[in-house]
Amino acid sequence: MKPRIGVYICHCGANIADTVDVEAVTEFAQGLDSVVVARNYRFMCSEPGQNVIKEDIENLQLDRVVVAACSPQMHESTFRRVCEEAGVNRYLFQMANIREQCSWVTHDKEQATKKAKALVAAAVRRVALQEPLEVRKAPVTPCALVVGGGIAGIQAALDIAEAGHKVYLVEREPSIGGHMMQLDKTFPTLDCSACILTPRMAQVRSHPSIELMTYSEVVGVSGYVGNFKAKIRRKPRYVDESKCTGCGVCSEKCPWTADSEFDMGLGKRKAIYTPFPQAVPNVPVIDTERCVYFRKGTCRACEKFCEAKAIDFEQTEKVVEVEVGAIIVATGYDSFDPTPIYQYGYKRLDNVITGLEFERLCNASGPTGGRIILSSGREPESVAIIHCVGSRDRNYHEYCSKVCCMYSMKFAHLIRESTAAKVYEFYIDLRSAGKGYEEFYNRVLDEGVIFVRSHPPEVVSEDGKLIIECEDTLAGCQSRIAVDMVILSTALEPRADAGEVARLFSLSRSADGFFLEKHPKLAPVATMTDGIFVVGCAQGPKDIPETVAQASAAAAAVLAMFARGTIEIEAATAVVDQELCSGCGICVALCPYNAITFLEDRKVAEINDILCKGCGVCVAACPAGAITGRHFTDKQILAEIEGLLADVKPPLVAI
Amino acid sequence: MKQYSYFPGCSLKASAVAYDLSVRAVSAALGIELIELEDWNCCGTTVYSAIDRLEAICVPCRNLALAEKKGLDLVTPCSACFRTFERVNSYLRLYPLLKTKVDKVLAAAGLEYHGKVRVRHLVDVLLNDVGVEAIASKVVNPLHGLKVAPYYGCLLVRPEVAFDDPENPQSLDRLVESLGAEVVPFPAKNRCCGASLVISNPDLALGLILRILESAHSNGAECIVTACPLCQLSLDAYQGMVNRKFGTRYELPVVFLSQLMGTALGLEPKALGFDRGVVSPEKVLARHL
Amino acid sequence: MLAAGEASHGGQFEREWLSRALYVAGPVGEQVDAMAEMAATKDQTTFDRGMPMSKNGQQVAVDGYGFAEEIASEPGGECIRWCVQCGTCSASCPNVLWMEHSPRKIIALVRAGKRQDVLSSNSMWCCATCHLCTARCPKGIDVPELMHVLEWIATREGLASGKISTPAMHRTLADAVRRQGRMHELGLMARFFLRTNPLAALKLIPVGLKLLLRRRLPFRAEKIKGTDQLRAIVKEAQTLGGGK
Repeated sequence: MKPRIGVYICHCGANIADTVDVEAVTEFAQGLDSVVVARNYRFMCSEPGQNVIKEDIENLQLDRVVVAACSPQMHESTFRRVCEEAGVNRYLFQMANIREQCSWVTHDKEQATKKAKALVAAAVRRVALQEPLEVRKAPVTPCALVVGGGIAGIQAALDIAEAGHKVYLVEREPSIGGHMMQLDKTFPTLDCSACILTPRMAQVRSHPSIELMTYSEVVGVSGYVGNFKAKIRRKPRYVDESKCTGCGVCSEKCPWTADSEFDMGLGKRKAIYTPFPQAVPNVPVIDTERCVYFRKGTCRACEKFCEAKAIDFEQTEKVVEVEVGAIIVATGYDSFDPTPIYQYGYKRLDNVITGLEFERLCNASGPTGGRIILSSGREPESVAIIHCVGSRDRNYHEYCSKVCCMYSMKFAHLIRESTAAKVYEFYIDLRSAGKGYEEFYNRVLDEGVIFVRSHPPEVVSEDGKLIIECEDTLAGCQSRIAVDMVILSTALEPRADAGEVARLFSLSRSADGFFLEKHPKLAPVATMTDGIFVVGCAQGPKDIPETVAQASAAAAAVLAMFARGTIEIEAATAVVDQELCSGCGICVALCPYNAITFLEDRKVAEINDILCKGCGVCVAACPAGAITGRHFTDKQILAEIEGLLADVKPPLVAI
Repeated sequence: MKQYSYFPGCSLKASAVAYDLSVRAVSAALGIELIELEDWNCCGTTVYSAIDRLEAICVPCRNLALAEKKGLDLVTPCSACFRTFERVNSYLRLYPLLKTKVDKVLAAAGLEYHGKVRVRHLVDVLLNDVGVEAIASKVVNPLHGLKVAPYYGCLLVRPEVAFDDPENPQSLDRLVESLGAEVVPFPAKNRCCGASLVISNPDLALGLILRILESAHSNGAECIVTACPLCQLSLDAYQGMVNRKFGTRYELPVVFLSQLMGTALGLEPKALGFDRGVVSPEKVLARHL
Repeated sequence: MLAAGEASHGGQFEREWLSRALYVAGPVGEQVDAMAEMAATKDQTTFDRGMPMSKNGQQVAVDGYGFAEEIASEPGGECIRWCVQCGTCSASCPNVLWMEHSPRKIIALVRAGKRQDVLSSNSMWCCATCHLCTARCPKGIDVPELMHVLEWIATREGLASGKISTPAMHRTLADAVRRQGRMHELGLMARFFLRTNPLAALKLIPVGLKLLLRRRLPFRAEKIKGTDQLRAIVKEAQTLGGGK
């Protein structure tokens, strides 16, 4: 029975119609073999556009549909759904991309129209040979894996757990809390960061649906949406979590110290330590690089004094495997190290510090007990805060880190609150766009903070003072301002191991190095891999309100998937004709997804429909031609090629 | 022997003749063959583009066209010439319309240039082609105890250069250390000497020169070593004027890297042009010469 | 007065409102004519966007998009569009205190269309091309290049600052290179001082003598063999509009 094909050319407003002569293409399509109707419309993806297709399917008994419009990436799923709603199997639909691959790449109308016609002809010939395929459904494992225990991970985990689903929350550090735990007060409300974060952390700890794995890392991920398997390496703490009471005696008695990472190197911790007092879990870890028992076999003071007998030097690394339906990557950011900016004197000159270091100075549980002091121990009389260090800078990071203007102003407020110091803010532009942010700026102005619109290129040391040499761009004069302390408002940058994490979770990264979202406006937390989400600063610099919103957004998407309970398996996979299979095994070795198994008893290959992604490598490689790629058969592809070349004359062959 | 096309630049034939002498002597000793580019012309330095922008590309480009025929890297000891040639190469790459014009202009002179010449500064060649280890191994007269302030100037390391850092350059430091000498801290090591303005605006330039001399002197330098003929001229010949204007009494000899290197390699002082310095290096180098 | 968006009617109108709107020092007619000609030949739509007003004798910045674009259309000049006015360049510049306008201010003035102010200022002539600004500029702007473009335009239009003799120095050097293919330092200095201020040479006589004594200032000027090639290059370049 001859196919009955409907062809729909989209104007896409002016995007296609301004370059491609859609009327001519429609007329051309009408004249093609098996085409019952050809139409064009301004926006095929809109509701009236979709209805045109549905009505034609019903009234004209169409059994195949071609839409010539944008990229299948955009709307293939839209139109497939339209077809199915009207009773046509989704695999009897083909899309011709006459936008991204045609009208958007040339201004030449003649050439664009010619190409559009060729693409439509190709799609029509192909769709005539397409077969209906059954879409199978697979169950969704209703558990989630959240990678990263900062505020983003914590929020996402709680949201999913509250809905009654199991969450594995994996955190690399000994405690959850992330960078937010290091902050002192948070803008614009000046809430104490620990005070708002620790209740959430406690909630995570006690939630029956959350399995908290700290001091652990994800080392392998396999599977697909709804059915992931993740391998998690649990590093040995050398303290038995089930026995430890969190009394802290071991740390007290430990004679060996190290620089505290949590305090940005400004304070000390012990070799057996919890990173901060409110750590969750409140179970210490032993740093084997500093612990003398691990280095030389002596000491064991912690073991001696532990009443709960929780120290276990024999602990080993464990790898556990979990099965989850969705993964949320919430791995956060690193703070830019300004050492390469030689002219700012970081690590060369005393009292030049970064933003995070200042947070620790300010914080009551920090290395100075919350006193803002210089390295000499006295209070500063004047402080300079330099914005945009490492941000908005072609030499380091081109992007704006978004939060630094606000945290810089927060620092100014905190300094004015607890010292008599003069504060200078050196900025290029002030970005205070959030709720209550501009009001906060007004408050800080009212507190007498001096704003100098300037990006100082250098900090020099002279007679015990730090001198900022700059041009006050608003007053139009050169200034030399002497201060005691310089705070560098450093950029937020992607984690140092972002590349490896990206590979692990099949994430792409944008040009700035952060993980790439599926769509910057309409799908900011989804990624190109279904079932894997990225939230918080791992996706780009942002403040806490935005981070929490993104975390909840991803949780909602995950819960929607869990509520549906199943996911559809793409049917365009490969299948082995076992009669033709010669048992050579080439396909097994080539499959990048390990979807092919060799059946020893019958000496033939078999493809797992669920793991197969339809990439086509085995189809091309099979010497016996025994493997067919469903929806990408040789006949279909050749028909497509013939359609493209329909009006190309064969070259004269020289004899 | 590694061969290079050699572009001395106008200064090396006149005020910086000591640089030319010492470069040739040192190259021979280090196993480098410098073949002077035949009939080279002035590069125009940084100032030509104020007069005519197209000529400012085409005039130095004549040299590149001549050098391309030789097929060797073009090495120059002058930072200004180095920058000028770099600019020509990068502009021809970045601006195709400009390249079309330049091709036309060169054709009128019977020349053509295809962007193939790799321009190197002498410091780059010494650091990366010869290497500090090789140089150190050839040192027969180590300059132990000599306190040196290595002066980079601007154009050697800025806006950017592959072999060093613009803010905290280290290439000269390492080369000087390979000779056994002691490098003193020198905050003004990459600050401008004002050479391009010293004739037309001496007051401005003298202030800049003072800053450099002061920085070297206050850190205990016994001499300043440089790799640019214009810098040497500024710091050396105008030192007297600085002293007169600012009431200072600097007597810091300013020598070329190649002169210092030649001394460490045991070459004859006569061949290194030490007698050309306005501030005589004799006293300071006495124990090493 | 024109309504916004209405096309102007040729050079006469520009001359009239330019002379009202601009604060002009020096020979008014010539400079205004030069600018009117430039205005008349520019794309009308961009130039007419601004409405010059004169209120109490104070002038309001003329929409100067044209001037900034003039710079941006030069190879190497497009970076003027990237400036965010942060002031890193000015604060890095070793000579900023000698400049009438700091580098950042020059860029701002260019954008505001203050062609006269910019081209007659001494700022770019104080630039030593040390590139400290370029190395630090967060937007990667080659500021000395912009300075050279302005110097070139100023030279071309005869606006090169009379307050400073650096333009004469550049001209002297270029002439020498064009003629002989080499820069002869002694000859250069001689010609330069004769051109500008022979008495200023007296200050440099001690230096000159010291160099002469040490055979660092040859009397004879070297000349390359390929002077005809250079002549051809210069001629062809000037025919092609000299980089315009």
